[in-house]
Amino acid sequence: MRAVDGVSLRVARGETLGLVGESGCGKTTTGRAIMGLVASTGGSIRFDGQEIRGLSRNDMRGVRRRMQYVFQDPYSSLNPMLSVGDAIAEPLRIHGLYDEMGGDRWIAQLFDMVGLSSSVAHRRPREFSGGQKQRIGIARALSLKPGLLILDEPVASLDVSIQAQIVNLLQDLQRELSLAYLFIAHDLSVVKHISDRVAVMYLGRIVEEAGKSDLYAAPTHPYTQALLSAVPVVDAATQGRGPRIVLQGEIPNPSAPPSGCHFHPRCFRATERCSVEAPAFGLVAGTRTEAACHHPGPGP
Amino acid sequence: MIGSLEAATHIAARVAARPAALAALVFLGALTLLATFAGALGLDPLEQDIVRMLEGPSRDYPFGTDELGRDILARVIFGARTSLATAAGAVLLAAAIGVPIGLVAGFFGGWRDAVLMRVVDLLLALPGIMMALALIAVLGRSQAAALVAVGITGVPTFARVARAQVLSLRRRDFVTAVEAFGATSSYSMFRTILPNSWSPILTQMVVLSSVAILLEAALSFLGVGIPPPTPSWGEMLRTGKEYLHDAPTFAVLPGLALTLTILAFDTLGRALSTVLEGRDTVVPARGNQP
Amino acid sequence: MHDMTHTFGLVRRLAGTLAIGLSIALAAPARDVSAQQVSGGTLRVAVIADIANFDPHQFSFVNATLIKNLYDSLLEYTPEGKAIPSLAESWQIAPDSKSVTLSLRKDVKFHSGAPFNADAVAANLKKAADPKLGKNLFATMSIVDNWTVVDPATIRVNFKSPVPERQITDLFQFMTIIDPAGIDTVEQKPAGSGAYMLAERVVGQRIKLAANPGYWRSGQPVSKDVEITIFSQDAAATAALESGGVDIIYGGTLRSASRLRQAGYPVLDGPGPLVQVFRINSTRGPFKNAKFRQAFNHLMDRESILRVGYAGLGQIVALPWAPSGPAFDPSYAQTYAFNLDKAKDLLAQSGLSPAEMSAWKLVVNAGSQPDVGISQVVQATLKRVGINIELDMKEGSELVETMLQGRFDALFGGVGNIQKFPSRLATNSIYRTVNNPVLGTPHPHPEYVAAIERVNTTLGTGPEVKAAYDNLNKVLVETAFGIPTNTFDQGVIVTGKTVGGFTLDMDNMLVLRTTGFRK
Repeated sequence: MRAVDGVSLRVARGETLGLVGESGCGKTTTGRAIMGLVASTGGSIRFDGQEIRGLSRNDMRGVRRRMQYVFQDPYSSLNPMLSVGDAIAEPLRIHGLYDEMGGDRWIAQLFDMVGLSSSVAHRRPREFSGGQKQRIGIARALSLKPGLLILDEPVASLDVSIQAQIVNLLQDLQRELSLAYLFIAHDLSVVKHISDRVAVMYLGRIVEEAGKSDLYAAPTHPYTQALLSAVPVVDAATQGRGPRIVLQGEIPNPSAPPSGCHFHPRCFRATERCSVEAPAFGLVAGTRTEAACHHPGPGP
Repeated sequence: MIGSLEAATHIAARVAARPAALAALVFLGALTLLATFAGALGLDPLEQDIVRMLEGPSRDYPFGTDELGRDILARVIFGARTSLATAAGAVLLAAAIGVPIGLVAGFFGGWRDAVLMRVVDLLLALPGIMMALALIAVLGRSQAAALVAVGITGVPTFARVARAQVLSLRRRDFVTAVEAFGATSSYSMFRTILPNSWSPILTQMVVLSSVAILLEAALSFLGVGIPPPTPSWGEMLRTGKEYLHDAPTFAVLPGLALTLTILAFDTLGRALSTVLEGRDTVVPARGNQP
Repeated sequence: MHDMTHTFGLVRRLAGTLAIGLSIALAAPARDVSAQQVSGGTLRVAVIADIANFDPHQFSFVNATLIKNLYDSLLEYTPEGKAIPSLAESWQIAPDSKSVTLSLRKDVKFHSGAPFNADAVAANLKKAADPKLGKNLFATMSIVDNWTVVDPATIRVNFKSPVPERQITDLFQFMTIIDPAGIDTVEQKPAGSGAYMLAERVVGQRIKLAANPGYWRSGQPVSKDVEITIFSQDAAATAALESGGVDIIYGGTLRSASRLRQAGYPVLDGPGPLVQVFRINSTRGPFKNAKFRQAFNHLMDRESILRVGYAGLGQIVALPWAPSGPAFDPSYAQTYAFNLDKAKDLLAQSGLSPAEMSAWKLVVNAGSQPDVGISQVVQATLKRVGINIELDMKEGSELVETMLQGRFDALFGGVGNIQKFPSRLATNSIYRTVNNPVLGTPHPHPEYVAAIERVNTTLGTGPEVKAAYDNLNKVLVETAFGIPTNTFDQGVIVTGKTVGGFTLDMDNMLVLRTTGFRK
């Protein structure tokens, strides 16, 4: 079974790449594979020009200083036995860089950066709300001053009102610190605000990738179109959207994917060719979008 | 490592709310105090009053005298030192050896797990008393030897508990997080997972203490425990048995002390297990928090 | 901590108890009681251990239940130590003491029907002289050179050098006679001439004896049947006696004997006790120092040891002899009594530092409650004079090896045959004069070796003999590598209240041929 197949992503400093797809499409696996938390069986992962796939745990230590991870569930991503101050400082201590990076002062700054008072540093995670815990998680991820942050559905567990706060915080931090983000989500609306580019994933493959405005205004892949049609908007007419597309069927079993184009059984534009031949991922003629489809084009 | 003092107090209160456990706590507390300050009470477990050997209870000797005219009450109180010290040392030794074994086996899996857990299974298959006797045969008879022998018999339990904890915790995000930061395996095992495993380990320590006390008494009863003249409850039972006709009350107090102590540890262990059971070290509830 | 006045008080109190104990002990040894006072029946005997085999030359206490019932010896001793005829009617020691001629009874037949004669004696001498077959007799045969069968009822035994009379009678008292035809299989099948024959044996459970109809002592055995039951626990045997299930307990613990005596059951102390000896390896540690060793003569709290280890049944001694032994001297128990001041004086004279004096361990037989108890008594006494030692608990084969190979600093060990000729002592491992496994070669105490030699070569009955014994006694307390504490019985006989007519044996073996029930 290939959880992730032929995925190729590029993110630059100061830029956010949104990675979107339904649950089980392999986006979390992609994120973890990049971090080296999950073993990958093939392909290449290059970070800052360096090949990092297959590095030993020890060698990865150096890489992990520069690339960090924010977890989805704030309730389980913090060690219950550590105070939040210690939790944020933990990456520094692991690398022995606590003093070098500024010690207590740096920790206080991190608290500040994520909008929390450093006076709470001695408290345990259980004393904080979900949103606060996620801020702490972000502060922790930033403590080593990484270049890339992989955010695995960082707001999915939070209240809608809080989600917006966190996303704003992330944007502020990105500007301040020139961070690169790989923002993984299952909902296109969440990434719209923060992403520069968006990649859509289906059954372990990237089916479309484009700049934000292009993707949201003129999606070319049927799956993207279906996803977008499900996103609630204030005024459908004003936004210029078409009718709602409801996909037939369910996501197939990843270990027994359909032949040809994985999406073809549910696709409203599928032809015979789609069931036989898997489409290549490439530039769609007349656009700046890349997609893997035999019949890319505007929606119905 | 208990967490906060507040949490510890909270647990203690919940344990003490159960009458049997409270009785056990009070008993063990009193016993420990007696054992620690036995000298200050003016009791001498070694002084021989041979003219008054094997007497029943009297004003001078509330529980009578033994085969050398020594005060049985004094010997039982000092015997508490032997029992409690050996049990404590043995349990700590068992944890110190067993927990790392379990952590490594559970964390790495694979051949390490297979080899280590087969060794643990082997230890578990041997009856504790036989293993202890074999170890004493090698190490000779002394308090240290008894402690080590009893300790080794407790290793499998801690190994299994630790391994179960690792398996249950290592998929949690905070453990993955630490690996994401670049922590070594050793850090993940000992500084992330282990501190979060304190409750089953603590429970096991208390439960195993009752076994340790019994095992040490059994070794002394068989004559291979701490050498005389150091008082030990098991040894007093052994001697008391010989003099059953002449001094029927000889073995009563040591037997009672032994039974109550084992019972107390066991009761406390059960209470602790129930109180800590529902409590997950990682708060499981995902609520909608403001 | 006790002071001197308290110790004296202790002694005064104990002396009272002891006086009673001693007087009973002295009054008990009954002589060969005539058969008319008791009538026969079935004697039911309780023992605590099964026999090892039927070889009477395997003299250790294990077989003592049967030896003198299935077999006879050439001569016997009265409890006072006088030699009386048994299978040998009379004996004549040559003037040069280098040989003895035994005249044998002509009316004795073995259980098989074969006649007892000089050839039979010769066959037994041959077995005893064989290092593999001689068992406990082998050591005593070392004085024998060869023997001649003069006629069917006469045999002459020749010695390597002149031998004192007591040593000669010891040899023949010790020698029980096996039917020559049965010598090869004697371990599995008894072949004797004694008052009883084997009727049944169930290993580990019971042995039944039936009277020998043709026994040469007329009117004996008084009781025609004997049932010996093996009890696994002393307490069970005691209960059986008290409930009337058995008539005699042989070889029970001294503790239960003492208790039964207080309950009114007759207890017989035989003339053949053992002596408990605190054995010192004088080649090790502080024990190399003579003054240090001599202090131990006064460091043994013998009264307490007797009480704790032996229920007070026994006698305090400072020499390794039984009261019935020829070299016994009661004055030594006074001169070398328990006395902490004398001990401290000698310890000071030794010149050893307290650390040196404590640098040794007392090996203890962990399986013997008396030994564990008396070792702790000694440990506590030593603490009072500033010597702090640990007890080294050993058991089973580990202990036997340690003892027999001399790998100890000190330990307690019983010594037997102390009612015999004095140099018999030298058959015990620590008292050996040649190839001593504990003290090594060359023997560190040549004066002791010389004293034993002197006893061996002093012949006759004149004052030279006593002088030789006195010299040996003096050397023993001065070399002090063995500190005797007390005598104690191994073959204690406790009987039901109607049982009587016991013949006491010099080795404390069970002799039932005159035993029966009083009317």
